[in-house]
Amino acid sequence: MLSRVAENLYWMSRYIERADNLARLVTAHQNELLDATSSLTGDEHDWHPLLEVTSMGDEESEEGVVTYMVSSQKNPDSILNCVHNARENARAVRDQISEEMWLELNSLWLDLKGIKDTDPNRHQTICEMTMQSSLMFLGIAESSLPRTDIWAFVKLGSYIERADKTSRIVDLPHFLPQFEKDSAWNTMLRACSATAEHRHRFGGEVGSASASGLLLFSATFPRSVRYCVCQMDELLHRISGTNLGDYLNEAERETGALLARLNFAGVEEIGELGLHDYVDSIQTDLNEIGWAIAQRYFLLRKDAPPASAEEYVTSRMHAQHQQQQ
Amino acid sequence: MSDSRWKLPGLASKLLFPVEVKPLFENYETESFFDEAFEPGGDRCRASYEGAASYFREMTPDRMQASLRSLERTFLKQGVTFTVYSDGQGTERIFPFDPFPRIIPHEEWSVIDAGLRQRIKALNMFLADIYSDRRILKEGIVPDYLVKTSKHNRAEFSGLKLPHDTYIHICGSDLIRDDQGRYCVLEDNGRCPSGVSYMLENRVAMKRTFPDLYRKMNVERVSPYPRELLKTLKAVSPRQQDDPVCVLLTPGQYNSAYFEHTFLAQQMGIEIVEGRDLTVENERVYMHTTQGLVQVDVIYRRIDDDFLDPHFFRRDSTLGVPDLMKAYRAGNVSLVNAIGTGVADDKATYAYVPDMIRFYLGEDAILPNIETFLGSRDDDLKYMLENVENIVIKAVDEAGGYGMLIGPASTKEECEDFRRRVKANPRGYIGQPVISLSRHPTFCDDNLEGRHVDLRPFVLTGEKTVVIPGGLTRVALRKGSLVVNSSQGGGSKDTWVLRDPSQSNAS
Repeated sequence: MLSRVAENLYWMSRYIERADNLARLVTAHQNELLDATSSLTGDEHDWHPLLEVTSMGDEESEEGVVTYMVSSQKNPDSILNCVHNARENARAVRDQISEEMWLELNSLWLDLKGIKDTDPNRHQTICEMTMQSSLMFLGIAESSLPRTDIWAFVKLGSYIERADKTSRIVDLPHFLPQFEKDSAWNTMLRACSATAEHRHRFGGEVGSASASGLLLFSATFPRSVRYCVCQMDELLHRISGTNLGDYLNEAERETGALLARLNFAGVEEIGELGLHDYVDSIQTDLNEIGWAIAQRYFLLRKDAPPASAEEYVTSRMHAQHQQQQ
Repeated sequence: MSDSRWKLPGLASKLLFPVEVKPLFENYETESFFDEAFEPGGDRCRASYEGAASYFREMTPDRMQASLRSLERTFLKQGVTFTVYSDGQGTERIFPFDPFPRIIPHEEWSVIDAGLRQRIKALNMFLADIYSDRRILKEGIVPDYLVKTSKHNRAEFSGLKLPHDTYIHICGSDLIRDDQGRYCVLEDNGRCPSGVSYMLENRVAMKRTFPDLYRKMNVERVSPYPRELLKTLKAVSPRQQDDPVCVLLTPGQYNSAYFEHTFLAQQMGIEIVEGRDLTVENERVYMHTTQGLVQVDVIYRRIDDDFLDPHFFRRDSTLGVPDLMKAYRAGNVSLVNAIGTGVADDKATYAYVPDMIRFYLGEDAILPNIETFLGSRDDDLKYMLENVENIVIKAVDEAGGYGMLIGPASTKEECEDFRRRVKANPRGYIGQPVISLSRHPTFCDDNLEGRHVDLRPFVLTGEKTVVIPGGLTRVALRKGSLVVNSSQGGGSKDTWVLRDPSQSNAS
């Protein structure tokens, strides 16, 4: 497969997964805020934790945090821009993916663009449509893609993005005031579609240990960080043809190392480091893995490749943002 | 913009088809033009059109409305679009499509088919000749200086031995019909002719929307095109022993024809590559894959010569592949179309095609040219300068409806401007009489009206020549307009070539 094609497939699914997770976060948080005491004041401040965990930084524009996260043109990682980027990446590989996958992304983009600025439910509608459509997209991929490298790079993009986002969702309580921390775990579980699984395994009581344990270390829950990293490990080995447990390149080595860490860890160990620093270290590892994948599979061309992970991510974001202008 | 309601919408503007649909032939006027569907006077339908005419006449407004909506959805969702940059946003638009099909009877098509085969044979012999023995130049049939001064002449590539001596593998000559209904060649597109994906997609949409009509009409298939194209590519591979690696080289996803590029690559099952995906080592071309470098044998390039190799042609090109020309010269990779076909595209060369046919094949041209005056010939130049107001003037190396003047439809200033340009560079211009292109019933507002059309059939040549029965019928949607190019407000129709009725059971 062409390197560029692999790169487009990977970013296509990363972006749709990113849009999906942002939509989940916004929706779940909104739900939680309705019950929070401070919601009576309608304080914009309540939304800032979302900016923190998504690393979108301090948004000081007058648009407001929700607009910035959902539909802003200026924010390269707003849901709308993520969907746009997913679609542009898909367009570049239309000949590789199934017709239905393209139709789903193209329709989503056209539909989102069709929602009027004046629609009072605009943000909610964007979130709902995005979540719905990304599930459709994954389902179509599942049932229409051949199990070749095409499939592997699509899934690789999904899982690395999902691992990163789940780890960020787990980090959300860190940014909340003390009295809201406990109830926030409901939000986390809901954002990860994990409410039922948690109830099934731990009963009705939602606590930080059980919830974060589930989202980080479950070997069977498909949105847990460990599950995602495990899938990445398998996909990377499938692509290179290496036996599981061995490694042929840096991406496989780093993924294996992170997986081992997650396989043999438990909530107890987090205590020493603190949850925030722990998920931070996971995110750092995931960034390194992303960079290793790019170096091994995408950046083989002669034209000066980016020198670092940061430069690579910004250059891709920049290129896409620019094309859109 | 009286006809805007009938266009398929741009994605941004969401124009829709009219609410009221009465596609009747009330007050249909053929005026003085040759009409594809009606006998002169407009009262009697031509035999080949009777089925379609009564079909549309009998269709209820509701049904028609539903059909048009379904067509619209098909094109929108599939993203059968081209990109317009004028509004700074890179808006995607749908190539406007008219649902009334153009119908060509079998007997007419046999003539076109034979004419196109004859023409492509002569054009390829001409290119092989001027880049080797130069017989036709030495014998003075085509003036030497004309070739020498052609903008796209690539004399530096003379002496290459190309597989099957084919230069133009994919040709899209534009045909028109004059007021007598004669098919004539208006120009030859031998560089990177586009539009074939619209021919294919139009057919898919028509079959889906009007299946009953389509079935009744016994229409030749156009769907073999991608398969035939792939055969053509494989036939010219330098490495014949293996299954050759063919790729489609695109300028990238922001090119206006990108949809067509992906469409064709997908249909053929070959990789679509950008310049940055390819690299040249040891005079061989390789593509970067996740498993390392893979050698490429045939490049179907949708990039003009000028941008192919920054080390050889334009240095500022970021679309090309450095040193690609080294690999090409060494014979390790084939380009489709070959380097240097632009000479045959030159509108002054066009005037000599009938002479080429006589010279190489000893035959008369089956499809005539339009009478053409060359700025490079003194008498012609004199005539052109005296008659700017009455004729069409075209720059020899422009395409897409640019660089031309339709005298009778232009202002005094515009005519003066062209007179100056022609005087300054006579070699650069040709003149032609204004041809009143044939017209075809086209949905306009709530009725059918005649609009001018042309026809671009597609001809493939690898080891042998294949003419696809059909083509892209382009229609000038603006009332009275003679310009059918999509960049100038043109749209398209599906083109139905009818099967030989005597052999209909065999197929």
